[in-house]
Amino acid sequence: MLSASETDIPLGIQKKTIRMTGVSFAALDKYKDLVYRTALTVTGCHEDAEDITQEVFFKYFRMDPEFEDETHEKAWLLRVTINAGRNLLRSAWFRKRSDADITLFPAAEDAPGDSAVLKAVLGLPEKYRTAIYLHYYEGYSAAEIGELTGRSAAAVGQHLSRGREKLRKILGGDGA
Amino acid sequence: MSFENKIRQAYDSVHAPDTLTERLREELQRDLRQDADAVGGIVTEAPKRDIVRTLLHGGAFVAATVILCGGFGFALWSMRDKTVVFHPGSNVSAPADEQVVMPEMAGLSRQTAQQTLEALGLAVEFSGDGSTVARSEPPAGARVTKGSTVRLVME
Repeated sequence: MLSASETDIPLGIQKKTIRMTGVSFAALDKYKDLVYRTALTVTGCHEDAEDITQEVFFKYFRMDPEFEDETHEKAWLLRVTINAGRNLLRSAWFRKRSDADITLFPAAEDAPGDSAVLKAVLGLPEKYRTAIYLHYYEGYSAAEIGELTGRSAAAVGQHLSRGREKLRKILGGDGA
Repeated sequence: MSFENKIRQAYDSVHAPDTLTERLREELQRDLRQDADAVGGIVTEAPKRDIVRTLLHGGAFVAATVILCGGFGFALWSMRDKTVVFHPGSNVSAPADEQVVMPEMAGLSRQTAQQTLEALGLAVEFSGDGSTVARSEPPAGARVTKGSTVRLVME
């Protein structure tokens, strides 16, 4: 006798088979920049952003989650990306490496094409730069950012204002 | 330029590198194909496993049947052997008309008498309207062939 769980698994992956043979990776083209920008913001480093992007899309296509609409899909991707980036920041490997390389050569991993503003944003502490990016670029409110990052809206508001202040100092004053 | 525009401009220039996207596409394709192959494996394997199980069950059933038949056959064979040894020339089908000794029925109630005789494998026929048995035909101690009918006279 096949148990219920044994019969369920093939059904679940059958969907993937269909998609694999038929449909493309439309989501990859649609969301690659979103995921990459978010990963870059959280990790502060292009190499890590590439790793995280890969990890997130693998997860996306493997899990094949179902979404009510695009807003939910985008939120799912952001949440997974932020979590993956934070896990990387927390990992012992990263801490060790950042002690050795990044603090000694802070600009070493910046891509040459990065603008001064981007460098300044990535130079902020993680919670500030993530909040700034999600608010000013992706257009999320403080409350929404709180939901995405697991923080209170008040805390996010504070991160936003402090991050903005720091950026103003770095970029030289004219920020409205 | 407003603060917001500066951020916007900075991030607009950030794109996932094409090399990354290409590599990702290839790896995803390979990964999902492996998944699909695995599914193919599972799907084609499942019926096989069922057939094997069925065969195993069938085999067990056949084995049990063989053992039972063998045991039964052996029992019959040994009984037949004894019959030959101890009662040479006797009718082999003797067990079919097995005999019982007629018990003493007098004084028993109609119901008890009937139950007793039926338990011995005898059919009962009553004569008379009384509630207790007066005597039986054939009488107590007589040999009666199983399955035959005996008569109880009531008083």
